[in-house]
Amino acid sequence: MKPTVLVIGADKGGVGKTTVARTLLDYLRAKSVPTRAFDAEYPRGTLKRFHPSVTEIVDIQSTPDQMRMLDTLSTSESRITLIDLRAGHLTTTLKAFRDNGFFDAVQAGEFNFALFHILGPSVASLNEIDEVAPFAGNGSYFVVKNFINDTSFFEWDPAIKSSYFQKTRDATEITIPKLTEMACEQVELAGVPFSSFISNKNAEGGAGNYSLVLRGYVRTWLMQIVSEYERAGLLKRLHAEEAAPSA
Amino acid sequence: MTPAVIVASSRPHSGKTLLARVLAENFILGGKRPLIYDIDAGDRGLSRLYPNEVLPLELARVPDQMALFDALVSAGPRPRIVDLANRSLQKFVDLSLECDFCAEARASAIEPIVFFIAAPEQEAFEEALVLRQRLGACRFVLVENRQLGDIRAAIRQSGEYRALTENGARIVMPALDHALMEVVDEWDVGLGAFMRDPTLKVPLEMRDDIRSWLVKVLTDIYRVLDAIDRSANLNLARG
Repeated sequence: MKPTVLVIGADKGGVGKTTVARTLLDYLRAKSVPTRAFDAEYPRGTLKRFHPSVTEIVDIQSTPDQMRMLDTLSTSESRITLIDLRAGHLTTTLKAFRDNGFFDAVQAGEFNFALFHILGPSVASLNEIDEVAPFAGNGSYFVVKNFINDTSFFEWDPAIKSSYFQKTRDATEITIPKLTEMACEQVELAGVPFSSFISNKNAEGGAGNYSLVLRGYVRTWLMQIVSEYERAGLLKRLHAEEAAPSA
Repeated sequence: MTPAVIVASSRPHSGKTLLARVLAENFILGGKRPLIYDIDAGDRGLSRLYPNEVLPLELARVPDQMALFDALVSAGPRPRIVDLANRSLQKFVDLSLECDFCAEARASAIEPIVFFIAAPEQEAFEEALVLRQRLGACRFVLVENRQLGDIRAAIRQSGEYRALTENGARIVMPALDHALMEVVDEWDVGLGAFMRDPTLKVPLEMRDDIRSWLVKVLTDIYRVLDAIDRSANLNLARG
């Protein structure tokens, strides 16, 4: 089976890339899809803090690190290689993937590619789509609206809005719903995957002592996200269906 | 088993706070100090009567939600009473389901029990049945408060009423003369203290009626909670 590279990125900061990456790692683990992750928030990674056992920190602009990610695709036991980019590095990384021949390999059928493009609430995200959309033809393009912090989206005028929808016609829209601030904060403090928080486990696997109410909020929120991923046919689009035991 | 009693109704002024008081007295007479959560009561709450036991909370606030549910499910011998404003009932149910409150409580040997006061109207019993089904994992006690009026025969024949009473616990709060009820309502001496010493503050001619009303309600509460305790212990023994 062909390995899949799943890139999560945005050119704008603070739109919740790592949050979405964390939900993906939780989802793929729940589906028993072998997955490894690279955290490009070099030198200190956020994703690494929440999912230390599957995550390595890389400097996406260094060639040795690019080799570490891409040259190991065929030999790794993981079906999916998830790359959580740091803010501002999406376009440059996509260009690097074109220049180093990765997209050629995708076109040749050697690998699969999927992109989670996390949009910010401002009009600046439109320009990002202009720059990113040309690369999306190499694989599956997901446009993610992240409401976790209760941002209101796309308050620009209808003409601009419709041009946005034209450009992303081939994209699959995914919505991440709002999560109560206190629940966000307590998961941040706990530094564990969402699924561990829900089942009240700390990083060492012991009892977590988290708030019942906040665990409830996170559980409902994650269930909504899982149903978004299912609706989008995510496993199929990531070519991970065979890896997951049939439900 | 430690009981966590939720006193609820879909109508205002149905006697929730009075029932919560009698429940508190029931535990106090049994030598236990209840923890009382007064939900969205505004300024008419129970704090005046039990200043050291009552925690007033607003269910719309997340920190208050945590203060309520996290405390309700934490293991310990003190019985818990929740006096739930009628407008907060749906929010409470939604939160209970969202955080799987009943199962979490049982895991700490806490037994959640809903005391639902139904007004003597068909609608109230329909609402009670819906609530019992939504909170399937919680024990459910139907409370008929005769102060609100008698239940008509047609309602007693209805499927909802029979489903609630034939297959579930029920208690009756008898009617009490309005003048006496005012005394009970306004009274800042505990009802339990009155049971121990009926000469306390209450005019002579009122004592007997209040006392017999209290005995009836306390007996009913004791009977229902005792039955739940036995069956909970039985479940525990069965593993």
